[in-house]
Amino acid sequence: MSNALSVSAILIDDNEDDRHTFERLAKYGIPCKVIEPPSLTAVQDDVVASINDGTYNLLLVDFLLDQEASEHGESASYRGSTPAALVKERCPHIPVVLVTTEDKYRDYVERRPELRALFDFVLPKNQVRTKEDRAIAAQRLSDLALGFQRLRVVLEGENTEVRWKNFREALGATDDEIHSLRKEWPSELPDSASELARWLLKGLLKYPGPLRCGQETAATIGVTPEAMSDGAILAWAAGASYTGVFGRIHKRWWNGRLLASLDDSLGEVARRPSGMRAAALVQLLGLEQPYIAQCTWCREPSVHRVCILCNETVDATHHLTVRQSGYPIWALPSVVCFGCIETGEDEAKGMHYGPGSDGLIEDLRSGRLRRT
Amino acid sequence: MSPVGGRLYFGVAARHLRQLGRELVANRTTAVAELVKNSYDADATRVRLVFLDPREGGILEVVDNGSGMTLQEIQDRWMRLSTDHKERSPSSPRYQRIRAGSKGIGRFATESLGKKLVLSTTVAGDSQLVIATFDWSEFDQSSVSLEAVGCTYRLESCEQDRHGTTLRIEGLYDDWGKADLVRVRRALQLLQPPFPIAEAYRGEPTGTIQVPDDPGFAVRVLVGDNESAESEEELVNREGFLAAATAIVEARVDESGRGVWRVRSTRFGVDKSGEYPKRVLLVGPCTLSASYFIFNPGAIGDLSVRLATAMGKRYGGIRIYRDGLRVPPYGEPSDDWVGLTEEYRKRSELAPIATNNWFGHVALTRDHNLLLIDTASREGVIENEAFRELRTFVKDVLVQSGRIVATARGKKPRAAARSTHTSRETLVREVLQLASKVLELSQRGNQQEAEATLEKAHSLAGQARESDKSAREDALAMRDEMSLVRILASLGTSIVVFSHEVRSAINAVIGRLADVQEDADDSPAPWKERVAKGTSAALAAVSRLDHLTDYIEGYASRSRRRERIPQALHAVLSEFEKGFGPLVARTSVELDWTVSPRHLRTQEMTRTELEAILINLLTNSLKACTAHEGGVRQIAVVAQQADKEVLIRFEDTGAGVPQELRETLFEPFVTSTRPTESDLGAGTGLGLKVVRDLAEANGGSASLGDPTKGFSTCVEIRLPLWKGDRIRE
Repeated sequence: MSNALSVSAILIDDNEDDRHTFERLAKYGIPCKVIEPPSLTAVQDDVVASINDGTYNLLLVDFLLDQEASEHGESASYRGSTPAALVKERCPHIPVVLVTTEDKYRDYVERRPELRALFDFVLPKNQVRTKEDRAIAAQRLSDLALGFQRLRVVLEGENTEVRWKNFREALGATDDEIHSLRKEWPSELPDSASELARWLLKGLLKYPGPLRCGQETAATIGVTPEAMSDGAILAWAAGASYTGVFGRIHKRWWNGRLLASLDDSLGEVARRPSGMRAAALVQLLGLEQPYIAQCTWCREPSVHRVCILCNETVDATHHLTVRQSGYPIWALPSVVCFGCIETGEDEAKGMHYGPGSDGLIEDLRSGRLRRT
Repeated sequence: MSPVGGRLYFGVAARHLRQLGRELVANRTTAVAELVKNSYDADATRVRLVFLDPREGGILEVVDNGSGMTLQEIQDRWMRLSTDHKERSPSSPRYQRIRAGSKGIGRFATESLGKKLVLSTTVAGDSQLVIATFDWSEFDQSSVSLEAVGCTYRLESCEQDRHGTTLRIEGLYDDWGKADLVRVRRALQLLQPPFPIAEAYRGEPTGTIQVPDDPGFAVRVLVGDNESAESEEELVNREGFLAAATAIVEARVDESGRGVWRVRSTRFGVDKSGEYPKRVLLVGPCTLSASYFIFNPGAIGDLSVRLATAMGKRYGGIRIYRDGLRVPPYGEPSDDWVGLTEEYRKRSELAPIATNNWFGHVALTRDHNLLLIDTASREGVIENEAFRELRTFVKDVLVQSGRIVATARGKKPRAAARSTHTSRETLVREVLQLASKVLELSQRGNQQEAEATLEKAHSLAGQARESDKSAREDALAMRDEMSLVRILASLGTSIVVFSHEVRSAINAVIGRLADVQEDADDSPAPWKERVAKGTSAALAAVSRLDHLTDYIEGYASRSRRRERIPQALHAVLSEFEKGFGPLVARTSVELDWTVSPRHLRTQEMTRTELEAILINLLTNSLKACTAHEGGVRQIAVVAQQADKEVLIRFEDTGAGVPQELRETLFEPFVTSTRPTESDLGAGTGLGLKVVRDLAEANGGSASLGDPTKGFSTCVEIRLPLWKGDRIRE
């Protein structure tokens, strides 16, 4: 591995505008070589070879590559999955990013798990359009590439225990936190950085479990989601903030540490209903904004989770659990608040719920059950 | 170093049992139905479903008089997963019933209903009652093997001739309200056809399935000691309902895939039969029987039309029975798996052939219809080629039957069939006959009668000319309409391509604007500020187009929008505002919308249809507002419940509708806007016609209403209200 902990990307894209945009990411610290789709032989001989020899440590590729004729005068006869699969096979320590439009992702990739598995990250093209978007995208791509490099180092440990120790350091986790993770995960870490990255990006960081997103963290504290932008609250929760690999792609907080912080700061009140917790914390931090979250359905200051559709907080009873396939056993299932079921926001998204929910859903949709 | 090795074994965690219960059983109504199927498989003739306490935490008992189980059978079959018992013994021992359950889901169903199960069972000739208690919470462990968690049992003495099983489910997870009980009762009572079990096999091609001396299978639902409601069977028998049918349709497919059909109507003197034009090769042998009801006084027996219509709404449909037991959800109220209602709504079929007009069933067997496979949740059959072939066969036969009956009634069966032509031909024939008669009468010297006949012939000839003219006008109107449909279809395709191209262009423009901003970062302050201001304004303009393209793309391409489901007004209007808000804002028009009550839903219709209504009304209002000089530019959309309808009032502060156009405003090519009045262009005069057509196609209406104070125009759309009688899965 050359150029330890630096990022050098290569993009294969048939669209000139997009190539131009990604070339400009250098301004944000991501030097990116952009190329038209070359011949398949050239993908193997040049692109994969230059990734293998360390010239590039991040592959960005569009999915449909047949828009314009390449410099060889012919449109590419392959799709983005081909170079992605080659890199995954020959350089499994290199992250592969799919750069495409949202509709093409939906039409060609989303429903095909074998294609989804080839890409470590999806960057929609409309998220690199503005200056602000580009800065964020560059930060994420950098975090991704550096994260893979760190994970590669993790796996260089000589035995299982050393690798787990390295992994704990890479996550910035405590012994207790890593211990609880090991209970749910296989005892042996995977062989490749790519697979380990998948554990994190498509598991630990994706679903609410030991790590929670800002909205779920707000619900745990009992404050409104907006409170997670307040400097004082962020400073108070800084000890629980996840600082490990891919932490800039997914901003997360350790739930266990957060609960401990609540205990430390509020004592017995930490165990009381969320409204009391939030009020005590707001008072403790001397905040002007009340930030006390209410259940979006009953308006009681008692919140439990965040609705995945409206992002509003909801209490322990006025929501339904979403039935999702492939959900890890350790993760909290997603919830939809009664309000979104009542107004039909959930129907357009094709939500399915756990068994025994039909009667309740019908009551909400028919108005037999209404807000008090 | 010598090799070290051995064997490895799979293990099953105790909580697997709970997962099976929750994931295999789609809902609690299905769970209860699975328990009742188990009783059927055990040769029970009576099952009582007793809600001793229907509240959450309460108790439900399922009591049958079936063959029961011994302690050994509980251990070896009931508590053992994936045995081949049902494969080895596909029929029940006593009445040779084909087993309804095949995946052993019933026992897991108990887990999905309540916290604890007390299973009491005994077999005839044994004076021992086995009582086993399962506390499902003990199975909720991932670290303990399934085999390590057992249940307790005890033996009690009982009468020797007693037999059957009682499942007592304690600690119900949910409240069972009145509506739930009605659902359960319907699901259970509709598990069997409203005729004797053997009837479902009459005409079975091979005749190999026999149900000897099966006394049938009665299910009762009780809350405490009270019957929850009267049974469908009672209703059907009491009213002699099926005997009053307009027509009876029967069809069958034999083992070679040959399909035959017959439609009979004593009322209209119809008895026609024929061979289905295509081979039905995937479905396998099956039969279709259906009673056809036209809810008109002259078309049914002495039955009251009101009652018949109510019965049609409640029990109409084509159900599927496999081995004598119902396969849900086919034939549920509003389930249109055959596509009859959809066909009727399209108005291509003028004969009333909607799902509610049929009371029928398709009889299948597990042995003969191998490609019709149950889904894992037991809710329906996997939608494969065989199922689609069955659907086509059933639909073709029933639609054809409906047309035959319509013709016999002297009605026009299809929109394309021009009955006026037939009428004209008949008239011409009659005129020619009369002319011959006039000649004959003249030759006989019966001048007076000849003149009277001649006059009649003149009159008929006049009618024939009128009919001819009317037919020509119809044909021209149809040609125009078809032409318009083709243009609109092409336009739809063009919009998809156009919006895709617009999307690419938008991305490029925004990207290049960002380049300019980036490059200006290193420039002197005044220049940097000017660039920032200019690019921000350009970005805002492009963003408006971006929003609208999002909406149009979704409108034109998402298949989910073409599903016929109850439409929630709140969600539809909310998204509508997101899509068109920027356009409205750009024209300085204020758009407000409210939905009351918030759950308000229309009956089943497609989202695209509802959005098309809203788009047409919005563009009309925007044109009216922008063309009207001075005053407040405002559009208000209020969706509310009005009796049994959804009422959408679309109001604006535009110029209003001229008095002379009020009567004809919903007619085609009538418009109140002129090209120069609005940058949205002139009206084609089709918008409101489309609105009215869409509303009427969905059982509603469109009309001008009285505007509230401050508004000048109000269009009222009325659509049937969803009453909450069905949940879309």
